[in-house]
Formats: sequence, C-alpha cells, structure tokens
Amino acid sequence: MLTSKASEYVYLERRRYRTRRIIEALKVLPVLGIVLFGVPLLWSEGVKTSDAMIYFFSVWLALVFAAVWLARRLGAGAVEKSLETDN
Amino acid sequence: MTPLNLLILVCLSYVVLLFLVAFAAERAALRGRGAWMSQPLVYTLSLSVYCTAWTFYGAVGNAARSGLEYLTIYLGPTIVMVGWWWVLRKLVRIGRSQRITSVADLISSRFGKSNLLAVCVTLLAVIGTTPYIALQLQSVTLSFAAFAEAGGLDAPVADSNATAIWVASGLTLFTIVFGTRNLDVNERHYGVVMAIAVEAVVKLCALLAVGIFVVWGVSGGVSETLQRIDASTIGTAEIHGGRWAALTFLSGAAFLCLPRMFQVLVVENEDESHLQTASWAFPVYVMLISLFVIPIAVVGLQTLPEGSNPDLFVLTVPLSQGRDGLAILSFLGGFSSATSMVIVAAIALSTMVSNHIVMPIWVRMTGGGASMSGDVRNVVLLARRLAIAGVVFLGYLYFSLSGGGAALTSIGLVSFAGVVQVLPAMLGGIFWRGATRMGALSGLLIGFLIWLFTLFLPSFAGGVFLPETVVQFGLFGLDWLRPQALFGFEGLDPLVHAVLLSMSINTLVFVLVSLITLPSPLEQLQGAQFVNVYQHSTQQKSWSGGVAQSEDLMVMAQRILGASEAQALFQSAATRQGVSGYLPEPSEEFLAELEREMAGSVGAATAHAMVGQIIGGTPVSVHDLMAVADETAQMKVYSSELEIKSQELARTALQLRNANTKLTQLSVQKDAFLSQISHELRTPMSSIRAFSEILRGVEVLSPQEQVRYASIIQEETIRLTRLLDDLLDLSVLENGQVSLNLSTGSLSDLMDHSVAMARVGRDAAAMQIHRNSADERIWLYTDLDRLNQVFLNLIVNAHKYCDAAEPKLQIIVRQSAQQLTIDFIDNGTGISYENQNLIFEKFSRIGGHKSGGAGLGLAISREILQRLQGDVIYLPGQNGAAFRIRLPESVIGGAARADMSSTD
Repeated sequence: MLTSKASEYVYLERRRYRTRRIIEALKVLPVLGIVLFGVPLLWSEGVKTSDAMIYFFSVWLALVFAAVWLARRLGAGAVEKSLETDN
Repeated sequence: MTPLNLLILVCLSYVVLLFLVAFAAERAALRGRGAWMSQPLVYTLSLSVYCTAWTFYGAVGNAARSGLEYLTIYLGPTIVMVGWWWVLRKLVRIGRSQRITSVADLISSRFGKSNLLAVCVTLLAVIGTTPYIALQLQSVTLSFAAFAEAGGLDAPVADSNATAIWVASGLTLFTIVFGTRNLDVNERHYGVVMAIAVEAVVKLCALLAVGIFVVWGVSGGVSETLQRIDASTIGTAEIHGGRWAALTFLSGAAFLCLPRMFQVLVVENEDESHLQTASWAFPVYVMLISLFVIPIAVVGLQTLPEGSNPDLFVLTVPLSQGRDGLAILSFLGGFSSATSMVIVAAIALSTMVSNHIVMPIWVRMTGGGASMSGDVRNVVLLARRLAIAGVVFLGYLYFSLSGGGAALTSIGLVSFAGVVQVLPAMLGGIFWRGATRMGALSGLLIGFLIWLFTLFLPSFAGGVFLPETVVQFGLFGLDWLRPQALFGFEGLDPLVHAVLLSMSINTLVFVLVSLITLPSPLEQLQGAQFVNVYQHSTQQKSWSGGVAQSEDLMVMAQRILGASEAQALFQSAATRQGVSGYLPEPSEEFLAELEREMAGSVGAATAHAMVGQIIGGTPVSVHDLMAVADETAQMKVYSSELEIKSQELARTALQLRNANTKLTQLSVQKDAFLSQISHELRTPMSSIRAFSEILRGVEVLSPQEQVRYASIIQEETIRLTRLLDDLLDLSVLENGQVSLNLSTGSLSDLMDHSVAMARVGRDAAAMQIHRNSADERIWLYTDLDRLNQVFLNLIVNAHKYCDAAEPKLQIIVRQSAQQLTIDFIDNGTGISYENQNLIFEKFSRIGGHKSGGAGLGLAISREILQRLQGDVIYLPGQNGAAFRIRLPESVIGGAARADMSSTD
C-alpha cells in the first residue's frame, strides 16, 4: 500500500524498494496466520486429532520460517532507517 | 530420603540458584558487563513469562478435557508476535520515547496524563491478576501434594495452606530484593530478567523431557503416539468455532494487555531490534511448549486411573512410571512457571499501585512539590515493596478463600477476559488521534462491569458473590439481566458470551464517546505524540517555564531520583544551556526531560502533577498546540517554504534591478567619460592644429614667432602625452593588470623623495611642509614607486590648490596594530561637503581648469592604494583639505625583513 509520501516518488532506490516490500510482507504475515489458523473452523466433524496436529504445527513452522526469513532480510538497523521514510 | 524431602531440598537449591543468578546479573550490570544480558535471546526468553503454571500444567489438563483447544492460548500470541510490525513495534517505541512504566501509565499518559484512568486500569489489573496469582500458588501446592501422595504421605496434603504461605513469602522476598533495587523502572531489572530467562529454559526443558519420555519412552515412537492419540477419547478434533475464535483473540489481546507481559515486552525492552528476533523466536518457544501437550494428555488419560486430575498429568505421568528424577525436573518446570509469573506480575502491579494510587494520594496529602519533607525515593520504594507484598498476599487470600477448587484453565481465561478490557483504549490510543479520555474511561468502565457481572462473579462457585437466583433469573429478576445471557444473548458459551459482549460494547462505547467528546489540549498533544510516534518520537514538550524555580525543582528531583542522579541531570542540562553551576534555566526542554526522568520513577501522571505544582504555569505552550494540530503544522511548514521561496525570488529580482541600475549608470558613466575624454583631447588638439596651420600657411613668419608657435605645439603635445599616460595608467590599474614591484624601504626616505620631487620647478618657500621624522622611521614592504606616486600627487595637489596666504602642509604618520595611516593636511579652505565624494572620480576638478591637470590624479591614487590593500579617503573637519592614506599592517614590519637582508 502506498502512502501519500511514497506516491510522490515513482522510482525508489533498489534497497529502499526491497525494504518496503519486506515490510509489506511483514504486515501481511499475521493476516495469513489468522486465515490459516482459522481454517479448522471450516472443518466438518470427524477430523483425526493427529492430522489436525500435523496441520497446525506445519502452519506454525511455516509462519516461523517466514518470520525468520523476513527478519533476516530486513536486517539489523533497518527498522530505524525505514522509520524515517515510513508513515 | 523420601521423594518429598528430596523435592524440598531440590526446590530450595533451585531457589538459591535463582537468587545467585539474579544477584550475579545485577552485579554484572552494575559493573557494566551486562552487555551479554541484553541479547535478543534473553529478551525472548523473558517473554516466556507468558507461559505460567497455567500453561505448564493447565494446557495438558485442557487438552485432556477439550482436545486441541489449548492451542488457541498459544496461537494468539504467535500471531501478535509475527505481526510485530503492526502493534508491538509502535508500543515499544512509545514505551521508550515516553518512558512508560506500565499499562496503566500508557493509558493515562496517552489520555492527557489522567490519573483517574490510571487508577481504573490499575484496579482492573489488580482484580484481573489476583486470581491468576492464586492459580500459581495453587499449582505449586497441588504439585507438592501430588508428590506427597506418591510418597505415601497424607499429612502435607492437608497442609496446602502452609505450602502456599511458604511459596508466597519466598516470592515476595525475591521480588522485593530484585524488583525494587533500583527505582527507575527504565533502568530495568537485570537480575529479575536473568532469573526469568533461566526459568524459561528450565520449564521448556522440563516439558520437552516429559514429552520425549512419553512419546519414545512410554508410547514407543512418533507413529505409535499418533495412533494412540487417535484411539483416545480426544481422538477426534472437535473445534467449536466460537470458542476457537474467541480464545485466539483473547490470548492475543491478553498477550498485549497483561501487566506482566507489558512489563517484559515494553518496559524491560532494551533495544527495539530485539523485537525482530523475538518475532520468530517466541513463536518457536511456544510451539515447542505446546508440542507434547496432547501426547502427555493422552498417555495420562490412558495410563492413570479414572478420576485423576488431568491438570497434574505432567507430574503424575512420570511419577506413575517410577521416574522420580523426571518428575522432579517436571516439578521444577512448573515451579519456574509459577514463580516467574508471580514475580513479574508483582513487579508490574506494584509499579502501577505505587505510581498511580499511593503516590498521588501521598502527594496530595503532603502538599507535594518542593514543600514536602523526607526522601520521596524511600516513600516510593516502600510503597512498591508494600504493594508487592500486598499483591502476593491478595493472591494468597484468593487462593485460601476460593479453596482452589476450580479447574486451572477457567481461572486463567476469566483473568484474561478481564485485562483485555484495556485493549480498545490501548489500540485506539496509539492508532486513533480522535480517541479521548472520556471515551477510554467509559469504554473501560462498561467493559469492566460487563466482565465482572457476566464472567468474574459467576466464576465463584456456590454463589459467594452472586446468588444462584441472579444467575438463573437475572438481576432484580429481570430476564435480560441474566449474567450468562445478557440482553438476551442466549445459547452461547459463557466465556464467548462474556468476551463478545464486553469487548464489543466496550469498543462501541469507547468510539462513540470519543466521537462526541472534546479532548483537552494536553490530550491532543499526547495523542499526537503517541499516534505519530515515528514522526516526533524525539521530545515531548509540555511546560512553558519561566516562572519555575530551578532550585525547587532540584530539591524535588533529588528526592525522587536520588541526590547524585539529580545533580548529574541538572548539571548536564546546565552545561548544555551554557550555564555554569547546577541550576539550568527552566526551559521547556529541560522541564520535559526532567518530567520524563521522574516519570520513570513515579509514573507520568504523578511526575506531571509534581512538576506542575512547582511550575504553576500553563502545561501546554502555544508552540505545542501548533505541533498538536499536525495538519496545521504541515500547512505551516508548506506555507513557510513558499514564503522562503518568494523571499528568494524577491531577493533575486532586487539583485537584478540593482544590476540593471548599475549597468545603466556604467553606461552613462562611459558616455560621460567618452565625452570628457574627447573634450580633454580636443582642446590641445585644436590649438596644435591651429598653430601648425599657421606655421604651414603663413609664409612670412619671424623666427621668434616660429619658435613661439612651435613651443606652444610642443607644450600641448606634452600635455596630451601626459593625459594619455594617465589614462593608460588608470586603465591598467582598473583592470587589475598591474604587477606590483614589491621592495623594502623606509617611509622617511620615500617621503623625502616625494617632497623633493614635488618641489621641482616650484619655489621651495611657497609652502611649508611639517613632518615628524621620528614617526616616519618605519620600514615598509610594498610597491614603493607606486606609493611615491600617491604621495607626490597629494603633495602637488596641496601645492596647487591650497589657497591660504601662508600655505602649510602637515604630514602626520600614525601606526596602530591594524594599520598605518598617513594624513596630508593643508591649511586651505578645504573641499566642500558635496564635492568630497566627487574628487576621487575621473576628470573631476574642483575650481575649474586653472591648475591644468586632467583630474585623474586622485582616481589613480585611489586605484593604486586599492591594489596595495589600502585606501585613501577625504578627512573632513581638519581646517583645510585633508587626505588620509590607510595601509594594512602587512606593509609594516618590513623592518625585520630589511634588517635581516641587510645583515646577510
């Protein structure tokens, strides 16, 4: 999502462009989590607990890996820098 | 040694170990070697205070009763952590920039430092946390009892109260020792955090150990375990949508709102970047914690006799299998979970109670400000210690009164539902500028009342607070006031019912009241600072000083921050302001800084009130209000930019206009110059022409006449040549093409030479020249020939124009540090004021053509002196024409050079 400030610039420096996309991914991640953890609400009766466990822990692990990846990509100090351009 | 005795021994050793760890951490931090303690890992582990005994024991119990539902308690926080960019980042940033000490402080700070709000949040937190602390005590006593039972002893079981007392006092002691060592909450509790990190490792290891034992030791592998799970009573995943969603929401919200979570997440946060690591590390932690819950529950259900308490399966499964060592480890895990929760909750609650309840009352009672007596530090610390003891004691009281009957999980959820009433005010406060104090207050109160009525009071079995009739038929017999079917919402799970109603009405009221009420200026200011924390997270300015007495502030600050800390703060502020000594000017910045420092000790509202009492001034300056109206401020910035731009344009236009005027003037000057020069050339030329025509055309001319005419022609050519020489000289000088011929010489020699040259062809007695040869003993290093030219010009001018009966010329030489001045003053009538500016112009001659000069002499002199970095000016008021030559000091001091060159 483009903020009013961002829309002033058509082209961004590559790294800043990357950082922005990573931040957007970070913002989407919890939404994805909610959706995936909400899937069981749609299950009809009779799903085996072991299958459900495997599903939950797989989603959990995937979320963790995504979070690790994004945190690494964002890099240390990126938070501070992006804050100046964010909002 | 019986297992129970062994357990007590292990337990005591563990406690001693924790004390040692905390002590060592405090010492290391004190000696500045605490860097390794501010690792993201320690931060993540400290977050594990979320996993209390409720999750350690209760999760298995919950799983045994309702299958996978226990997962929701961990899924909520996982989503919050993974989505740290949304809320946590902002919370942490606000907490750091505003020196927030607790949830209550956050809410009160945001809504105009309102103490009423802080008190409400504090009370809510205390009421919500007390059952939770009771739960921890209960779990410890239950686990003791489980061991005692296994050891075949009955006596300690009956003495569960004694166990609870021992645990409670031990925890109180630990918390007081390490939790109230330093006053400023922002100084962070290294000891406590370290101890909690160690406990986090212990409880994780314990649960993993039991889990591994159950999966591989009892069931015989992963696939066998999965089969066993499917074959058990919880083999089919029954997911109740309402409860699932409500519990996930509840746990996620509680993760943000629980006082102890806020303490470790925000207050104890050392570095914002730690969040980045914790965003995935904490989900990993809770995932590992919940990994073996179902297997343990299933094995417990299948191997233990019917009717065993499933809440204790983590302990009783290893015990029943004869694994006493594992059971002791497991006990330590549960013990760790319970103690870490109580410690952090007690610290968080005591901070709130002392900052928002005790201190304001105390300030009011003693009159506050500088007039108060005694050391406020001690008062605050005492208040905090008492509050810790009080909070733990309340938990104990709840435990002994309630008899520890209810299942662990339900108490935990009731508590969660209570503290999340803060959520709308919290999120609204940090994301919505329009949220007002009244909105937050009314939303909070309504939510709190609904929670109290629909969930908290009915949770006491046997109608202790709420008679059975009310539960069945509603308050005052009104059907729509039934606690578990409020406003006719029937058929819902009691918890879902309470969460749904309390949260939605809370939010609705909060938004509606915020929309219709107006915030105070201070609220607006704080609102802007919270919502736009990334834009102006630097300073919070709130006092317009001037009337404040720095000394009073100093007296007060010393009592709150401690003498040396306060003095250091004041001194550094004074140094920054450029004031010597300890008392800085009470500037806005300084007051804001002081208030923030004090807020770290006594909370924002109290600090604000204390500074306010001393300042007595307006809490919000005009400048702040400008900042509040962010849009206005932006407009202002924009318009000021425009203003600057238009000023620039105006400047450029002015410059252009000036340049144009100058060009026009130059053009006029050039025309004048040309006409002047042609006039000057024409006069001698015409006489040359006339006389040469006579010589050529008239044949009969006496030789005398021939000689006369020829000499006239020669005189005129000489005049022409001189004119052309002068013009050439001037043009060379004006174009800066002249190369200076620098050499060393004495001023008196130069002057002698000039005077002698000026007298060539003139009567020496015609003008007296007064000089002081002593002053002229100065060595010069400059272009001596050019300087001579100037002197000559000035002396000749005096000869020519001085109209006194007895002409006199005075030459005065003065030497100062910066320059050398040489004045040429005659005793004539001088030059009239209006002509003083003209004489240096080309072709300007005063008094007609009688002297026969071309009028270029002074112009040339001025040009020469400018090349020599000096100048010549007319000196008015000297009873005659007076010219002053100024030369820079760089031309003096040639003496040293000259001496050296002469000795060489």
